[in-house]
Amino acid sequence: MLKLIKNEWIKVFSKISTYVLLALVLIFVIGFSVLMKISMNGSYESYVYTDADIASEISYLESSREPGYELNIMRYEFMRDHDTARDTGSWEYNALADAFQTYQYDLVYPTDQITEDKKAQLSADFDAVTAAILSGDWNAYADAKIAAIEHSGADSELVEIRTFPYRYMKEHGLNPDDKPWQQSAAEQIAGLEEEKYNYQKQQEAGSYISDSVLEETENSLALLNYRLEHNVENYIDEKGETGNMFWYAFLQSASLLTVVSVLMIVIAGGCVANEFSSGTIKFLLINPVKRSKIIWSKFLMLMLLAIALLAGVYVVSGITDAICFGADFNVPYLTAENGVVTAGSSFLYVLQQYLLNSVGMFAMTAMAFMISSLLRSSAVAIGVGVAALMGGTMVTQILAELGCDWGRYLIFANMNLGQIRSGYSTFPNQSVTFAAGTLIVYMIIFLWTAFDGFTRREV
Amino acid sequence: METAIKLNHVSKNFGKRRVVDDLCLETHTGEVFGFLGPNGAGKTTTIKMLVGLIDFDEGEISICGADVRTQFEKAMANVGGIVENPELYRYMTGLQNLRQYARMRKGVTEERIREVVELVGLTNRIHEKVSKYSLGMRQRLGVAQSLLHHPKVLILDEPTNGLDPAGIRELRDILRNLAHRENVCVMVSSHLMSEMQLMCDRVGIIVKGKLLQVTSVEELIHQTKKNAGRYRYFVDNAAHAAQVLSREGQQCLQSDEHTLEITLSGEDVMEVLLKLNRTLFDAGVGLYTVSPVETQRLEDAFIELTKGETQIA
Repeated sequence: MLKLIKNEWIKVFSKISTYVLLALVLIFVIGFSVLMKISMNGSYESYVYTDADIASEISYLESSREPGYELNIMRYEFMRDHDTARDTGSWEYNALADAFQTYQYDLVYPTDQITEDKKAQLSADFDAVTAAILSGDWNAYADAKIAAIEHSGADSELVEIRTFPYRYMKEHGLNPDDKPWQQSAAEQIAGLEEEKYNYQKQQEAGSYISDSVLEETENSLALLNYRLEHNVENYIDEKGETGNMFWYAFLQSASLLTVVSVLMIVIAGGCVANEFSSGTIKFLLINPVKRSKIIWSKFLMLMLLAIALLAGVYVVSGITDAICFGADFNVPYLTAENGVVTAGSSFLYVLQQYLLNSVGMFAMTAMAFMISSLLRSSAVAIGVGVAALMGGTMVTQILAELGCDWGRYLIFANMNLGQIRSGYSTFPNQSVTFAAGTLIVYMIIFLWTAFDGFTRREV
Repeated sequence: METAIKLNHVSKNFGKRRVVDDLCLETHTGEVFGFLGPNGAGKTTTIKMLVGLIDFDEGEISICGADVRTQFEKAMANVGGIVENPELYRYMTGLQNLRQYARMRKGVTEERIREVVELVGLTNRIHEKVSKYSLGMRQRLGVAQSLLHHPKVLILDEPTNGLDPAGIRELRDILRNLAHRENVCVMVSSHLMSEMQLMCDRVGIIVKGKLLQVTSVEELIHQTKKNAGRYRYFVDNAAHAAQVLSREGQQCLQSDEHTLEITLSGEDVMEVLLKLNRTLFDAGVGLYTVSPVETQRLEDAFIELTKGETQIA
């Protein structure tokens, strides 16, 4: 049997057309990385306001009169008058925006609830914070913020939560000018903790908060804490999203498997039919080997080839993406459940995504193989295979929109296991088990038809 | 002498048409068996049934005692062959092709591949792609392929197709050697009688799916000798000889100044020849040789046997 598979393998790799197709796949893989690289350049740049910019911003705000425009004009005037926080990338810029929002809003747009004492205090806080901003010393600013939060009148738990980002930064000696990722993580933690605090207060007051909302908050918090604790800047989340360009590109490259699918359909479509059209089938079948073994060897060769190509695309994508973006191996795949974070290998996660993406490839290869064996026409097999690959998803979507529920039994509706697993199926309530079961049934039908057609037919 | 191929009341229908009708045939190891018949008589169909390419409706076929249906692998282990045209993988070299078949059969070494290539005279071209081969070379490669595993039964469907006269002669020698020295049963199908006459020990004639006759080549020729035979006279003066023979009541066909042919019939051909020769001698004709025109014999016999049935069914 191994020798038979080797024979089939040699047949495929003796043809020039195979190499042309492989070269095409390689071009796609490399091109994809390069295009990603080109499109990703120049993502974030800071901007420094000149006096002229500020003047035009102010005149724009005056004419637009959008809500809160007075406050913004005050901020720009402060920026110009004190010649500070002009760089959008600096911590001062954000701190100034925060100071105006937090301490000036209630002064500019006062409501009845705000007492004179409160006003005086806000004004004092504003002065203290802006003084720290003007000094350019972040530690002084953090102290001013912490002090302001502490005598804001919030209860001790909230004070603890709100001061957390400043305390964390100071404790770890982090400078916001370096744009440490921990800053935004700490700020997100503060935001989520406050959210959680509010949910608890609401629950105590008798409102209903759904468990899933609470759990989501809890999980997000657990993730952020885990990252701070283990010093994880970038990671891949459950939805496959990541801030790291290498891993982003690597994951996106999984879509290249469609190109591989076309190659597989071409080879599978020719694999039986070409033996008939060239007449070599007679020489193949007069050997002391049962027909069922010959057809099995052909199918197994196709499966091996598909696996090899899958591995090839995975490795080559990994390498080209690493060359384009620089591989960062310190990016784990993090998931949180019930507030417990599990760290997994990102390579494995990406591999899993590739495998899920390749389900359609295997299914369409089997289909082309069946047609090839049944009709002995490589053109029909390849045509139908590629058409199904390209148009199948469209057909199921149309059926779903027309409300034809039987569409869920079509093979195309079940091929995108990755999506179905994430809950985005074309038809409602389609589970992975259902999809996998349907796929298996289809595979059995394809193979059985192919085998029956091959072993019974007269040559 | 063992039984190599045995067909027992084999029939095959294509739809309503009966292409092979109740065929019984036995061939033996150590003989070259010719399978003779006009186009569409069922030769290729029979060969395809023998090697399991198509199924049959009635009867049994066994090769070296193994039933082709129930013991396919065992039966085929003893068979090598070419069915219809030698269609090999054109995108591979000759050697790569042979290696493909070597992997599918037991006990074929690289040494054996070289040996077979040598035998069919392809050594110099074996590393070239088959797409660059002529039909004759592909035929040789086909033969090489069929010999790889020392088969006891060699089935070749019109093997001389595309071969030049020298190639036909080489192949003939190879096949006769295989049969007579290595005790292989060689089954050759053809519609070229002259070729069969030189190559085969026995012939089976099939017409419209029916096996008309199985005889040795000699018998077949002898059988027709009694009824009609052509004799060629090689003389010093053909015109003179023609005159003399005409007086004896023979119709002469003079081809040049030295050669003429007569047709003799009846039971006492030898008597007549003796008498004619004496007359020619007496008339002063210089007689070099008299010989039967053998090459025509089998064909005559064949046409006679299949007369009225050579229309493609």
